[in-house]
Amino acid sequence: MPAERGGGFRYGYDPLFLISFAVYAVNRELIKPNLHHYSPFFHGHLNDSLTVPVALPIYLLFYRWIGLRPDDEPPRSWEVGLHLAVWIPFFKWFGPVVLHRGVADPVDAWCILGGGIAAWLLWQRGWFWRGLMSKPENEPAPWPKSTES
Amino acid sequence: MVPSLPILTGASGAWIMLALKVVAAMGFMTAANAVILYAC
Repeated sequence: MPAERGGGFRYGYDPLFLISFAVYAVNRELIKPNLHHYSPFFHGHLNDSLTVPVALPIYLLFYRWIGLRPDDEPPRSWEVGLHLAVWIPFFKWFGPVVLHRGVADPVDAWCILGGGIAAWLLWQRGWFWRGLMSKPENEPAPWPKSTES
Repeated sequence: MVPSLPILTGASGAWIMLALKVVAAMGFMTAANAVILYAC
């Protein structure tokens, strides 16, 4: 097992995962069955946008269980990118063309990509805020005020 | 103490373990992708 390191990512209890999964469930069980006409958004784009925030934490949890993921840091850019590089061709080309399952819509591919980038930004918001709020090194503290003048 | 196979100890053993984990991850990804494709 690789060296243990900390991190605040909670996988199945991650707020973004829970909210995204709830949106997916509501869309699947309540919205889609009650639509009288085909809606590109509710029948396709919304689910595709939720691919990364719903699926990636489950995948990363498995990698953590088998010891391939060394820590519980929020999903890194390369982890998101690697899965996008697999999922977009698989769900938008291999599935529809080879397995005859799913829809090969280029807009859906952009939705998966956009949802992945948005999810990564939200997962990295702690890093963003820490970087924004931390003061540069060697900068004198604003207190106590110097009495020399 | 958990007994371990001699082949899985040492430097080469670490590479073998890493390869096994990567294979397990790829297997999980294939199965999970199929579930998403057919069930979601």
